[in-house]
Amino acid sequence: MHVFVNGDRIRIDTDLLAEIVEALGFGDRKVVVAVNETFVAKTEWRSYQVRSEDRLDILSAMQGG
Amino acid sequence: MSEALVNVDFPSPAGVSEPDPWQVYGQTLQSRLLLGTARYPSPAVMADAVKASGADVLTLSLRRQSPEQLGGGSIWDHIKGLGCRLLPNTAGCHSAKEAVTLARMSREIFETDWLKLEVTGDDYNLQPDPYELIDAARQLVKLSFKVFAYTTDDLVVCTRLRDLGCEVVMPWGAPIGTGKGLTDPYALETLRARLPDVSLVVDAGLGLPSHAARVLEMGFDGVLLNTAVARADDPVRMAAAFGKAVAAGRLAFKAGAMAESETAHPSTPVVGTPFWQTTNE
Repeated sequence: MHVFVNGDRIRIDTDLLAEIVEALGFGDRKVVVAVNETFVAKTEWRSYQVRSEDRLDILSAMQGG
Repeated sequence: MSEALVNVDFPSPAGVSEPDPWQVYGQTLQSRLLLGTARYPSPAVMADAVKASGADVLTLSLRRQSPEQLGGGSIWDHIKGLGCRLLPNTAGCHSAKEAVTLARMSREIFETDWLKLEVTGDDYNLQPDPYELIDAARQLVKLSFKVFAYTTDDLVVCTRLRDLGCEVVMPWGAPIGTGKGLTDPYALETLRARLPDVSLVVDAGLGLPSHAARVLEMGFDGVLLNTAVARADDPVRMAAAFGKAVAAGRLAFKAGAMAESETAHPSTPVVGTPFWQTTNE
C-alpha cells in the first residue's frame, strides 16, 4: 500500500508503524511520529497499524527561536 | 573564543550585583535572558553565543527530516552539550490541533513538559492567533504542560492565558525577526501593571541590547530573543551584550528610577556658586 511520509507518497510493505520507521532508516534516530496529525507515542509503534494513504510526519530536533 | 568575553562582569561594590535568580514553574533560573538556537552561522557559533549570553534556557523545535540528515542528531548534540534547560516551541502551527500534536511530540523527544506555545494567525507578520492560542493553551494545561504562551500585547488575551494556568505569558515587543524593539511601550506597561503576579517575558522583535534593558527596567521578568543575536555581525559578542543589558535592566528596576520632571534642576549645588552677585537696583 501507499502512505505519505513527510509529504512524499511512498510504497510500503508492512502496516506496522515500528517496521515502517525502521525500514525508512529512522530506526536508530531520535524521532517522533504523528499519523494524520495525531501523535503516536513510541510505546505504541509496535502495535500501531497504518492504513493506506495515511499521512505520517516523522520529526526530529531542529534549531528554533 | 576569548574566555574574557564569556566571563566579563560588572565591577561592583559588594552586594550590588548579587545573584538574582527567579522561579519559573518551580525551577530556579539564574538568567533572565532566554535564547533561541536558530539562524546562527554555525552550530559552533551558536554554542559560543549561548555561553557568552549566560542564558540557561534555550528554545528549539521539531521539523521533518530525512534519515540522511541524521535525524537532527548534530544540532541535538550541540544543544544537549550546553547543559541548558530546553524550551521546545510550536513554531509553524496554525491551529490548536496542530500545536497540541506538536507539543506532545516535543514532550516525548525532549523529555520536558515546558513548552513555548506559538500559534500563527497571520503569515505576513507572524501574528499569533488569539482564538487558537487560547484553545491550545486550555488543552495543554489540562495535559499538564508548563506553557510559555507567545502572544501579542493584548491585555485581554494575556489575562485569559494567565487565567487558564499559564504561569509565563510572553507578549511580543514587535513581530518576530524585525528587530524593531518595543513598538507599543504603553501596552507593555499596562500589561505589567495589570498582571503583577504572572511571569511576563517579552518575546520577539528585539534588535538591540538597549531594547532588552528597557524591558527589564519596566519590571518585566525576562526577555526571549534569537535573531538579534544570531544575525549580528558577531553573534558571540552580541550575546554577551544582551546578557549584560538584561542584568543592567533588572538591576535598574530593583534600584528604582528617579521621577521624571518637566523642568531642569541643577545637579550641582547652587549654594556657593562663584561669581554670583546680588543685584540691588
